[in-house]
Amino acid sequence: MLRKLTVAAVAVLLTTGVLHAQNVAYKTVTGGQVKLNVDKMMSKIDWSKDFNELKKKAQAQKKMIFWVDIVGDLDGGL
Amino acid sequence: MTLSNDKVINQINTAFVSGWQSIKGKRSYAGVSNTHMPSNAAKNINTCSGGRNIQMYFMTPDGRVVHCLPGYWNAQDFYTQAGFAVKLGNLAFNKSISNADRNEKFLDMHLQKAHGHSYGLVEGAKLQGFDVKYVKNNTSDFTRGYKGFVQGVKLVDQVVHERMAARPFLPFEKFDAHEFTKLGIKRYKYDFGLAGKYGSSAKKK
Repeated sequence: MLRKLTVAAVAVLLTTGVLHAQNVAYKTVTGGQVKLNVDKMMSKIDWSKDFNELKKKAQAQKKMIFWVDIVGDLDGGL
Repeated sequence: MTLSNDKVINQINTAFVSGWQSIKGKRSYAGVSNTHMPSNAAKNINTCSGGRNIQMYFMTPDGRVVHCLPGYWNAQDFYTQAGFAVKLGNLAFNKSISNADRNEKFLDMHLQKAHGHSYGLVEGAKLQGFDVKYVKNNTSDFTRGYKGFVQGVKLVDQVVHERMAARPFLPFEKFDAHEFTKLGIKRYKYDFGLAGKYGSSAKKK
């Protein structure tokens, strides 16, 4: 009985994430690399700022919409 | 860092058309932390941190939200979540099921993500101390009940999926981001970005 209870308890803990320590490996990126990343993101993805136009484009191309709301500018200061 | 990842860029360009807007000074829920320029150093943070500063929406072609990732997500987790959003989008295209069944399936899929997946997959989806204090005082869905084995505050991605489950296919214009982004405080103090407001960036350049 005790064994069954222990197994059940561990299963609950696992499924609820309690046993997973969420430690982030923090890594600093230099300003130069950040700039390169931003330039790459802006040049490799075709960004629109017109939501209604984007909806038309999505329907024409049968694609979904990926839309970013951000405090500041995607390619400038945040 | 995430949206410059090659795998992510390929995924976005294959499955989505993309757009953005600034919500600075336009939305009451928007964050008001220090200014950060592209030339300033940066570092990764906990998943969903800065959820008031950035919200990444995935929508059907007619602009109905199937998923929203608030704040920071690393490239691998973003890739997984965007793939999940595509599956939700496919649900919207499925003409063989009723709207009621579609909404129920939507709810099931998000709740399965919230409660059924391995949380080891979502690195760092744990609130920081100041945000724990915020959600305890300002939300009701972060704190588990006092019955049962597990107590305390949920992981952020779990709450994100639960909140999405309650918002099936909402038009973007009606998506209540004000409530959805109640994941933490509006203003963070950090040592990157422009000097003078909070902290100093000079030593981190």
